[in-house]
Amino acid sequence: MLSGGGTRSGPSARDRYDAVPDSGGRGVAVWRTAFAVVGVAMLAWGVYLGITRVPSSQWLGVLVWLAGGIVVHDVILAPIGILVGLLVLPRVPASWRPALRGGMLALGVLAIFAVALFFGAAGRRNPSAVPQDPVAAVVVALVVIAVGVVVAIGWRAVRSRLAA
Amino acid sequence: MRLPAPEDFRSAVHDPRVTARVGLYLGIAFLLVFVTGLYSHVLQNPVSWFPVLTDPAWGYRLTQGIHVAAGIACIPLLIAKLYSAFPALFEQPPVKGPVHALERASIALLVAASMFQLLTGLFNTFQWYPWGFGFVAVHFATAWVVIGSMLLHVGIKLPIIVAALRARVVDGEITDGAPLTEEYVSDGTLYSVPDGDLAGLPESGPPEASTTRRGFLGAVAVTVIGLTALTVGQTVRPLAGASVLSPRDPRVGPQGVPINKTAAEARVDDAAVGADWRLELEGPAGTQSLSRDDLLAMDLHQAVLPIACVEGWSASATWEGVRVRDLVALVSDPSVDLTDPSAAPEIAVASLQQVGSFSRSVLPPSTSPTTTRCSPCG
Repeated sequence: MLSGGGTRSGPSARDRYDAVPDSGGRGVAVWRTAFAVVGVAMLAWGVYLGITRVPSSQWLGVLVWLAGGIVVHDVILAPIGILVGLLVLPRVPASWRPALRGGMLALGVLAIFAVALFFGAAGRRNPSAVPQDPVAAVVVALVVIAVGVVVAIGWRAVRSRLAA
Repeated sequence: MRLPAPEDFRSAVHDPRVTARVGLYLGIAFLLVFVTGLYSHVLQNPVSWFPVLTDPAWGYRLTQGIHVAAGIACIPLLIAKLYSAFPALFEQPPVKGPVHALERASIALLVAASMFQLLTGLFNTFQWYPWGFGFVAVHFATAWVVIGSMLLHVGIKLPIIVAALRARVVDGEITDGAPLTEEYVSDGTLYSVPDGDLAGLPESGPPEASTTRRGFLGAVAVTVIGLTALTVGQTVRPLAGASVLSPRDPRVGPQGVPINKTAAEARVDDAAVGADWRLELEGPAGTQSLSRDDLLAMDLHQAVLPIACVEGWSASATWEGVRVRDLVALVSDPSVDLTDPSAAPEIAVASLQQVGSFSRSVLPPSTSPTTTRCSPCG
């Protein structure tokens, strides 16, 4: 639960997303600075490597792929996850929800692997690369996910019955 | 229709305790991938101040198996991390000032670079290259951007992370800063007591919230383990049968070993390996030209050695042929002890392969039969 009304004396719910929080203590402040300095240095080195080692004719392609990752997540994956959370999860027993969330996560990962499997198999350059039938592979993985979700729900039910 | 606000996301999954824990696992996995990737980089592109470690023969197999297995594990961890932290995307106002703007830009870079690195890395292992840039140089540069922006992100969020990791997932929500008594640390399953900074739930928070948080972390763990089980067989041979999602099966290939390029792709035709083929040796003691029959007449040795690909698969194979050392001896100064690595020479090797960056390579001196390393061909 995100919002809790006025029953607590701590910081407001909004503060948990405080983008740049206060350090609180000196030790934390020192560590933060160290992380940030090393991080910025490595980041700058990466950008330098990209500029010096990647031909400039390829930069546009890299930038399109970089932006594509954000778009795929923010515009496709995340809204699907939120819609499922909004439409499906409230309509099932509370004890099913963690398993269903896990199943959704696994389905999202499988979707990415399915794309790689189908295109990898379609463009296979020799019989040892992506040797399996992609349809059979995805079906097996779907069965594994379905069994996993059902087992998790069942296990949960058994445990709560034992506890009761 | 309006955009949601952070407060609209009511699930207990969107909680710093969950975000920080998934982030911790993701950070560890990212560091493992980075270090093993750097290791491969210095082996493929040797530098003077770092030794080319060819011993033990299974070292490259292990490190590159970890590189790809941990990289694959990062995919569900990254999705789970983004899902948990997603409400932060809708902060209002979107930008509060220059520091805040920089912070949000660094997050955008971290998300973009992470997705990019994991997706292009995965597609590369499937030998699918739907892009027009050279994979290796871009993968190497992006690795530094991912780890750099990740460390910057950890630095910025450290106070929230510390508090969130100290608070227990189940019932560590009371956060007024007052020291808590022993019973709050007696659980022993996760970390220590909460200590202040964390925004809390109402005291009578629904019991579902804690099971949701714990259940989500459990679901992430199960997904990572399951995905690993379905892919790691490409390098862990006993699991090859379960490896339905991996791009390679160590049992499948010509002569029972997977390959990256066929002879035709390497433009090695029948004429190149016909009766006219000669192995040309050049050394301090002169030159030699050996036919295939000359080589077969020499001492033949067998060795079982792994071939390990930077793309994460590996397979042991039985190799038979003339030892490199015996060939080197044919054209070396007889006074040089070739078994002494400090005295042995470097050897430049040219392959029959007509194209590709690895058609020529340099073998450093070594006392051991060399590990077979394989490089990305994107």
